Formats: sequence, C-alpha cells, structure tokens
Amino acid sequence: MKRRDFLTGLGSAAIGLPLVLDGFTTRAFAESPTLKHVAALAAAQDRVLVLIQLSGGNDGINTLIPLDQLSTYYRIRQAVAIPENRIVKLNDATGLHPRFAPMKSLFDDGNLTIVNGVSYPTVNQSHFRSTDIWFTASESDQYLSSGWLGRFVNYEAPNFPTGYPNDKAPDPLAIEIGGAMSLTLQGNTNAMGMTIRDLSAFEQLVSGQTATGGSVAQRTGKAGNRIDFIRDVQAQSQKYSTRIRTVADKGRNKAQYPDKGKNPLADQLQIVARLIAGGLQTRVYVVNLGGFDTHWDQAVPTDLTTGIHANLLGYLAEGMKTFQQDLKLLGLENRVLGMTISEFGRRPATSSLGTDHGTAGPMFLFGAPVRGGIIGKNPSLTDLLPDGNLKMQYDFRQLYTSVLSQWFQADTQHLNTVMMKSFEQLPLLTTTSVNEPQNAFGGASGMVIRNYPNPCAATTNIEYTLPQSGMVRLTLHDALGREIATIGSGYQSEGKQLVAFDASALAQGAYFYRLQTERGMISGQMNVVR
Amino acid sequence: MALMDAYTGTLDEQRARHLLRRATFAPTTDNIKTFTGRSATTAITILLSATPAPSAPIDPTTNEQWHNKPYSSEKDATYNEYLKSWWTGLMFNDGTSLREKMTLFWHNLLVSSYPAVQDARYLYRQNALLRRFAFGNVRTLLKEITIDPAMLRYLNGNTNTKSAINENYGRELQELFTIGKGAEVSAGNYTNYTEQDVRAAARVLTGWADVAENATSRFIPENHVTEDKQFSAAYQNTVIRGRSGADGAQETDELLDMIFRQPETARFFCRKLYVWFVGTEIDATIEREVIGELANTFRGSNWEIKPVLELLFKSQHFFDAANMGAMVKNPIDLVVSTAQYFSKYFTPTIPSQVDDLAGYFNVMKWLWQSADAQEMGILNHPNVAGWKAYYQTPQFDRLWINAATLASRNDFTDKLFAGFTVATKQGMTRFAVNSIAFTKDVCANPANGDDLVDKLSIDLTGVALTQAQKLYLMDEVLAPGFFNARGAWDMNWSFYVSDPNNAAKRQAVQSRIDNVLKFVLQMPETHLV
Repeated sequence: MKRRDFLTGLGSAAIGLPLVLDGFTTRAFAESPTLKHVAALAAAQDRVLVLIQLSGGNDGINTLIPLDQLSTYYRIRQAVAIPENRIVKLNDATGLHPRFAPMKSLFDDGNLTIVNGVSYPTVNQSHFRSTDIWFTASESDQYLSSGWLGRFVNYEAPNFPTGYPNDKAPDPLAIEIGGAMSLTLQGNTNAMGMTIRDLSAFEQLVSGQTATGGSVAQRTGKAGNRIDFIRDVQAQSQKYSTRIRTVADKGRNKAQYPDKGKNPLADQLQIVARLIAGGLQTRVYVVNLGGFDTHWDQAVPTDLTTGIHANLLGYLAEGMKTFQQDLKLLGLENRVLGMTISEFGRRPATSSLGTDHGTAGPMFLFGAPVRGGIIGKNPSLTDLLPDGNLKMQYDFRQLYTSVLSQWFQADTQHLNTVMMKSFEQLPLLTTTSVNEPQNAFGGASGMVIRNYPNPCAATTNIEYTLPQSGMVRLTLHDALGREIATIGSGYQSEGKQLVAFDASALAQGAYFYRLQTERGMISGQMNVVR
Repeated sequence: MALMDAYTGTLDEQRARHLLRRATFAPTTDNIKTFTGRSATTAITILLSATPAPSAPIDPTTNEQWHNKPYSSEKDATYNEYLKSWWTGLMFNDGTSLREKMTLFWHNLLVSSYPAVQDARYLYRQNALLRRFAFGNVRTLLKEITIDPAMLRYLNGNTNTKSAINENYGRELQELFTIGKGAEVSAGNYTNYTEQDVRAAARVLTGWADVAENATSRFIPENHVTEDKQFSAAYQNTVIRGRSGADGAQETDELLDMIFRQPETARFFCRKLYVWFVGTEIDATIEREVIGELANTFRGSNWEIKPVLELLFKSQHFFDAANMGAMVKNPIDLVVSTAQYFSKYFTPTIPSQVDDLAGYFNVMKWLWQSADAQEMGILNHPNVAGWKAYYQTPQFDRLWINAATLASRNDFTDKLFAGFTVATKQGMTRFAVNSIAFTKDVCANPANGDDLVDKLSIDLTGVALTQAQKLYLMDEVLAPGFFNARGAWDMNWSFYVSDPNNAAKRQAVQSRIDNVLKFVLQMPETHLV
C-alpha cells in the first residue's frame, strides 16, 4: 500500500474556509460534521461542575425507597416510613419520597443518574471527620488539608493567586455560594475559590483603593502570614468584583425559580445559572443545603410524608429541576453537570422519631451530560454491616475520578495528583474519558508513538514502530476522546512508519491520535498552536 | 526560659494592648493607659474578678421579664432577638473583664442554636449557665450542660429513651465537648473513645427530658436503660452499673467522672482555650510545653478553670511578640470592640438601658446583625462543632476573611462614620462617630498630621504600622493630592480651630479624619488581634 493511499480522511478534505472559533481564526471544512466536533472541543474548557453538598447526612433509604424490600422497610423504619400509597414509583424496584417526585421527570428524560450505595471503607460517623473525608477525598485514616476540587484547580493553576486573574483566566477558578469557604476548594496552599453570598451583597464590595496603605512591608511570622492572606483576598476581590458585576448584570435567568428565601438551594442555584449565563468562565461551583442530620423530627408522626426531611427533599428536587429547566432555556444544558454529595447516609433502623448516623447513601448526577439510569442496586436492608449499617457498593472517589476524567478530561497525571491513587471509573456521562483503561495498553507494550513538530501549526509527522506487520487504524480524536476522523487504515509492514498529517484545518487546541494494532492500542497527544 | 514561666515585668503599652485586645471587649485607649505599668498579676486579677450576675432580659414593650413566663409561640422569635441584644449589651459593657469572652468561648464549645431549640427561655437559661461558669468548675459545667434543657433539645437528649436510643448527644459529648477524637486506629476506634463508647454513653444518658412549662429538665426513670453499660479499653473497660428508679440519673455523673478521669480530657479543654485566646496553630512544642502545663494545672485544680486562665494570661508565651496580631479578629470581637472603642464619641449618645431600652436594644441588634453578616451569628452556629475558624485546618481564623465577609466587615466599620440608623424613642435616629471629639482625646496636637495618623491608628491595629504605611496615611489618605500635604493639613486644622462653629471648616477636617479611620479599619493589620 502506498502512503498516498493510506493518507485519506482529514487532510485531503480541507478546503480552507476561514472561521472564527473561540476567538481564533482558523481555516475549516465547509459544512463538515467533523468541524462541529472540533468546535465542540473548543468548548471543553467551558464545562461546569456544580457540586451540591447535603450537610448532615442524607437519609438515602427514605429518598429512594427500596420497593423490593418493603416488608423490611416498614418493620425497621416505623418512625419515618413513607406509606406505600404515597411512594412515587421510579421503576419496579425503586420508589421516590413524594417530595422528591419532581426528580422522576428528570430521570425519565435521561437527565438523572443515580448511583446507589456510595460510601468509603470504614466510615467515620463523626459529621466533621466524614465531611472532611468527602471534601478531601482522603482515606478514612488519612488526614489531608486540601480539597479534591481545590487540588484539581490548583493543578491547572499552580501559581494561583500570583498572576490571577489574567487574560486566559479572567474569572474566579471556583466559586462557593454561601458563607465560609469549605475544605473542598482548599488548594495545596491557597484557597482556590471565592465566596459569594448573594449578588446584591457582592456588589457592595470595596470599591476604589485597597486598604493596604502604600508600599507593602514584608512582614514575617503568624501575623505577617495573615496580613499577606488578607491582602490577597482584598486584591482578588477587587479584581474579580468588576467582572462578576458585569457578568451578573448580563446574565438572566429564564426559568421561574421559587421566591427568594423560599428554597435555600434554589436561591443558590439561581445565582450559579445567572453567572454561567452571563459568561463567567468559572468551572467549579459549590452550593450547600444543610439540615439533613435528622436524629429527630425527620417526619411528622401524624403524616410521615411531611417534616424536616420531606422539606429538604422538596428543596433539593425543586432546586435541581428548576436549575435544569433554566439551563435548558438558556441553551447551557450541555455545559453543566450537577452532582450531590453527603457525608454519610443514615442507619436503616430508626431511632425515636428520626435516624442516626449511617454509612452508604445514593449520589445523584444530573444534567444533559449524564447517561441516565441507576448504577448499583437498592441497598439491602437485611445484609448489613455488623453495626447495622448499609454496605458500600461504590467508593465516592470512583465518582470523583469519573467526573474529573469524563467531564473535565483530566489526564492520568492530573487524576493521580488529585485523587492520589487510581479508582475504577463508572459510566456516568455521555462524554468519555481521554484516558484509556489501563489494560488497553497492555498488548501494545513497548510501542511508542509521537508526532513532530509538536506543537504544530500545519504539517506534522506521526511516527511509530510496528513490532510486526498487520492491520492498523490511525484515528484522530478531540480532547474529549471523540473520534473526529480516520487518518488512515489498512495493512502496514513491521518497522518504523511515518505518516505526514496536515493539521492546518484544525482549530487550536489539544488532540489525540490513536493507533489500533493487532497487539493493542497506543495514543499520543498533538497540540495545535498558531 | 520555659514558655509558661510568668512574665514578671510590668506591662508596657504594647503588652497592655495585647492583653486587653485578647481578653476583653474594651481595648480602648483609656483602658490601655490604665493597664500600662501594672504587673501582669494585677492585670489578670482585674480581668478575673467576679462580677454580679446580670438580671434577666426585659421585654421593652412591657418592661417585664419573659424567661419565667410560659412559652409564647407568638413572641418567642422576638424574645430571641431581645436575648441576643441583651447578651451583646453585656459584651459591649463588659469593660476590663474576661467574663464575656469566656461566656462566648463556652457558647462556641457547648453549642446550642435558636433554629434548633426554638425557645428563647431555654437559651436564656443556658446562656446564664455559661456565664455563671465563665471562670468556674468545668466538670460541674459539663454535668449541668448535659441536662440543660436547651442542650437536651439541641442534641436530642430529650428523645433518647430505652425504647429508642438516640446517640446524638452521647457522641458529641465525647467528640466535641470533652475528650475529642484521636486518630482512627481501626474501624470505629477513635483512640480516645470508640463507637461502643458512643452507644454506651447514649444508654447511660437515657431518660432525660426537658420540661417546657418552666424551661427545666427532669429525669424519667421509666425511659432509662437499667442494664450495665460496658465501655471500651479507651476508658479502661469501665462498667457503669445500671441503676433503676431515680438513681438512674447518677449514671450521668459517673459517665462524666469517667470521661474527666482521662488525661486527654484536660488537654482537650486547654487546646480549646489556647485556640480561642492565643493562636490557632499548635505545634509539638506548644503541645508539650503549653498545653501540657495548662493541663497539669487543670487536673491539679480539680477542673477549676480560673488557675488555668491565670497561668495562661500571665505566661511569657502569651506575651511573646510573635503571638501579637497572630489571629484574625472574629466578627463579634470586631463589631463589639470597635463600637466600644468609639462608644464615647457617638452623636447622638447611644441610648441608655434605663432611658430607652428599646433604642439601646436596637443599637445592640445592629451590632449582632453586623456580626451575622460576617458569618458569626450568636445562638446561630452553622452546626454543633461551632464556628469553623476554631477547628477547620489549615485555614482556621483566616476563614473569617473572604470576599463576601471582607465586604461586610468593611461595610460595618464604614458605617460607624457614615452613620447607621435605628429606631429609638426619638424616632429613626442616625448615629455616627464624632471623629473630631475622638481626635482631640487621643492626640495632643492634631495639627501635626504625622502625629495625628499615628495616634488615630495605634490602638486599632493588631500589628504596629510601618513608617511607610504611616507616611501613606498622611500623604495619600489624610491630605491626598497636595504638593505639601503636611502644610495643607496644618492649615486646614488651624482654620477649623480658629472658627470651630463654621460647618464648612469643620467638615473639611472631619471628613479627612473619617477617611483615615475608615481606611485604617480596613487595613489588614486592623483585622488582626
């Protein structure tokens, strides 16, 4: 086979129409579906994660009611059990708390993925310790002082806050709506996020001069450290405040949210939607709904479908659903993924009028990017841990890893830095990981693939050595791992191979190429820069 | 030199300022002067002297106390506001006493919040208990708080019965109130106690209930687990023998005695005191030399806290320059101490409790609401662990500062000069600091701009300003835009002095002094304590 024949696909299809894409002018293919992929990939940096913390430990068993174990459910949960005729059926095995029922339409539309039995080995039943474990993604016996999202952001912005904001990162790297910054957003040395309580209060931020008072004297010790810290917050606030004010003015919500003060979660999500709609480039938001520590008064004895937990589930369902509607109306639904966390579930057997601290619970991922459906099975109410708590099905760090990989396209090194060890991913999202499963590389061991020049502007050479002759296929992928084009396929001989590739039609950014051989698959990364 | 050796010299101005800023809500220029030149022993004796218990809060609309009346669903939320204003007033008027900072310390350790308790009478009672034990016996306080009606509600001790064990209080008593969690050495074993101990403690504590009629508590023997309670090796395998009838209540005493027998319990309280009063970073040396010494004294005094406080505040370590300004000032301290600092200079005068209780309460309400906006609400903790700044590593006290709270802090201090408006018996009244009156008190020669900015700032900042910063205050804040700033200021001040009733001349200097004070109050150095 001649190389000329081998080179089909992308290069020859280029006809070079100019297109403005993400601010960069590039030549492109007219009406090419491929280009749409390329355009989508430019949006990869626009992906947003909204983390909803349910503080106090949500009672998963009354959120998702195991219809396959109702007799046990009614026997051990008398104080809080939802009457059978009030349970809203999600599918044959699982029912919803009636106040959580708005989630059914989200589920039916494929915009909700439920993961059952999420926990970690050896659950610590202290709220604070367990919350820290979830925030830091640590082992049960490991003490970390940085949060998983803080580390994630810190990896991409190692010098933050020095030099921030800048042209490429004009906005806060992460935002927490609420009072104090949680450990989630704590980076290796600095808090990586900024806290916004509400937009009107934010607009009162200090304007004009920063009160540092002239040339800044270097001070040392504990006081000096704090002075530096406060100066940083002052400086960051100043820099970001104008931008956030502009963005908030521009952003408009399109869905009808509950009146302010009626649903504490919806209030926060409304701000998030407004900021995204206004064009804020922040990728991580953290919001909080507290009060799930329902030792008592979880449900009102005269009507067990009401009470504290019912109200909280109502806030959660209404908040998530309205937010999702808003994103859809705003045309942002493909850019935003939501995920709930809670420090632990609650014990299957009830105490007095509530439930004590437990272990595993369900996690919810919502938004257009999710695959939908239920992962894992209903927790068993009879096959329990020795202390009477639910058994774990999935480690929460598997979900974190999956989200970072499948949503934010974190590569292996990035994942290792954030998660510190490797966790098996779950198929949560319709977007896929750039990371190949570890074993896919097994058969191709010893093979090396590279391209030069890299980064490239136009022509680059992809070079690899085949240990044996055979059928191969070389494909090009966007940063999300989606195949854009076949560079070539067919039979090739043993030994070094060189394939010239014309990247001049691609927008700037990162791409991957993959070589599938009979011995396995290898891939490399190509950066297009002009 | 051991860290806990007593500081034997007299207090210079810097040490007097440091002690008053940390231990009281009134580090005013007058008080700093009074304490300067005294021995540490004398100063601490003043801080720790007994003060009469305040009388209970009054409803200004009826002039009657309400804590001893039946619960009123209609008025309770208002009573809660009165309670907070009353309490804020006690802090505001605490002078050179340590009492209210200790009361707040106990509130942050032995948390109860209004949203959970939902009865202001209960919270008044708890608040009075914390104040009574401000310098008291800690083991007795813990016994009292365990059966305090507000606490019984807050942590569900009132629902903990033999037929439905509720572990909430049994857990938090150990994790957050007394011994603390050590490393988790195996599943459910937190070194200092285990999950078994949580369950056993919960069983010991069965039977307590609050009594809504008179905001008290009682023990109901029928609800008590009468079997023996077996504790783990963390508590030397102690068995608390099950008792029936009214004797069941004694088990609660035995439980606390068991917990207080553990050396770790003494260290736990001493660490909490250290973090509250000295600094949030406890390294190995401090753990060994400071916490260890304090804990020895604590155990030796049979759990009296007063000798521990004396030891701490007299120590060379407390007065170490490295600890001065080493913490971010918490919002309640910020609002109460700053308002107190300028209290003599408000125009009009802040109403007195006797003349206009409602007006006085409204001013106090403005203070606690300002602290709420800065994320430190009294009787409104985010959760049972208290304010995050006192336990959340690695940020600790830095957590008080973020973009939102910094804006709220600045908003508060700006309003002291721009004015804040509340209802008094005169109608809606705007209060603002008369900064010229203040200036004349703290500065002998205000015409000298350099001296003026020094005197305006020296007692406000937790760390002394540098010469460069003072020059900036003079050149860029007091008299910006002048070729000869000093001359311009001197001239304007003399214009005012020669014609003090001329509003324009007065305004020219007052607005510039206001600018300096507002600016100083926003400087990072002022956010430190």
